Amino acid sequence: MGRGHLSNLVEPPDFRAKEVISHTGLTGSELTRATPILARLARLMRDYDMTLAEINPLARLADGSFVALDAHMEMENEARPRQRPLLDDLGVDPTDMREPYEPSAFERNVKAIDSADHRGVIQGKDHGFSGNLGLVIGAGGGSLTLTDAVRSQGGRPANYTEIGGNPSVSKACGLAKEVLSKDGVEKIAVMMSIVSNTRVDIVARGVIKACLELDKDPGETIAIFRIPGAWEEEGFKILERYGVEYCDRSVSMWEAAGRAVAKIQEEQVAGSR
Amino acid sequence: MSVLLSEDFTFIVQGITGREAVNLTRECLDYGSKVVGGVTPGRKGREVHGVPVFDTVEQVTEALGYVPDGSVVTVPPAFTKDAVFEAIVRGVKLVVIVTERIPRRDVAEMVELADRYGARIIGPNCLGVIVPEVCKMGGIGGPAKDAAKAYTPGAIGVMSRSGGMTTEISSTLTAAGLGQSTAISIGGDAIIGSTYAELMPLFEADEQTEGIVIYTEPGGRMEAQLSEWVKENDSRLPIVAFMAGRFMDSEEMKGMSFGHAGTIVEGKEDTATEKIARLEAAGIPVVERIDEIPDAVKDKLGAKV
Repeated sequence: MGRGHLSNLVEPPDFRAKEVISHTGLTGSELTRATPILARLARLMRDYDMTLAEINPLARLADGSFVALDAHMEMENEARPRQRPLLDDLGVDPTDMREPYEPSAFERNVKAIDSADHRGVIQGKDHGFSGNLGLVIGAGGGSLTLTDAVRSQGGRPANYTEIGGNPSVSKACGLAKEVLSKDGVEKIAVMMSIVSNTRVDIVARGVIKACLELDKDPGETIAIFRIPGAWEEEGFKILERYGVEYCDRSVSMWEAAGRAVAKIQEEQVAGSR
Repeated sequence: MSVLLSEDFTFIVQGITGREAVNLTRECLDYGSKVVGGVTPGRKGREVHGVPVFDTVEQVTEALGYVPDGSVVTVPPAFTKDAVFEAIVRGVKLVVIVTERIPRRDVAEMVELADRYGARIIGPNCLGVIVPEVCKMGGIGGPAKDAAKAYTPGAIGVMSRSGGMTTEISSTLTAAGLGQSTAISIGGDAIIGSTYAELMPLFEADEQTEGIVIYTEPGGRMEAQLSEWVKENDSRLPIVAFMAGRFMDSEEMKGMSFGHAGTIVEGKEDTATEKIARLEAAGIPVVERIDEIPDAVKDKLGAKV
């Protein structure tokens, strides 16, 4: 096997490809013929922002020349804007995100709400989720932590979300409405790790507005509201007015998730009686 | 003492006139940080909360008569590489990159250049670094009064792939009477300037630090690197880890990224289960709940004495 590291600051030179191939024991005309293939592959990977560029298998013909029988390449999403000319050549549409699965209606709707307003960022996924507890949660790491906390305590999340960057009331409202409109969702848990940029009162207004617009009682529908941080006093006042159970940072993310799970389970027991 | 920052640490903000950068500058100044200049091309002569704005880093160093110790870079992704190159080539030794969605190749180039110039990059896609009651470099912890609620001086070093969770964890430690020596939001991208293992020697050399808490996620090789570093270096510092994103281990979630660009399970090595096993094999306990961290740290510190 041959291995080598390339500098990203300069174009991959031929001699590095030659060194790597020579490590495999190849020499003579095979070495000189294989070298430009690897060198060009390395340049292609760098020039076109690939995260993977693979030729497999590489075949040798009777005349000693090499041909690639198959190849696999992956381009990074972040680089798509600057690789537009190549993508156009390949016929890849700008809206085609090449996800490993077809986006659901929920995912498409959340994306549309996010794009309609530049303030803040919301994301939603429900591929692989099919529970009854709607999650309106954030941010990056907080969402991962909270989804685990719900599942580990026997809860069944209906979806995954990420709220960040201080979204507007209408954005928070739109997200909560989408979650509440999912089949089988009875309650939502509104939770985040301590926020410093996103405003607690704005998220509180958004989720309450979503309940009211869907003719639901916020106090019944929001199982728990646990977003500590910026503008929390203002947020907690609003929640109190609508009878929503909330908690500050003294209640851990785990415990908040547990309270939401307990509420939905109690209701199911009561309902089955 | 502390790592990366100190009382006399000076830094600039590149992209200082942007909306987020203006807030960040205010927060850092309020916290007592020495923000000595800002750069936005074409905006020379302005001020942001009293901080003078220049067109280039070169102009800042000329006006100051010295090279500032650090720079917080918060410019759009397409321009980040150039801004970081500018800071490094002008002699800045610590660059915190806040910007997210920077193409990986650009990050790889920045990290390589920093290495050649003896500079260090924190991030991208991070909230920065804080030494409680001494200096805050970046948006970490938010407004000064909020940062003061969550972060208190003490003996625990915190490193986290999530900016928000850096604050949540530090706040939990603070509530349990465990202050922090330095907390670092290392960034959530697939390639970052400084990994856990690369920052460990700094904490190891810092007299104030007696223990480490890390926040980790699925994806990447950073936890494996840390496990190897700990085994090879006979570290004096006990480490406690928290792993989020355990739900991503399920087969249906394969290839989906959650939370951060670098948080994706593509192979077995990327899974939470595999990472937990590696960390624990290196003597690093991995707790399931944030609120278990303080006791786990106290156990580890107690066991050492």
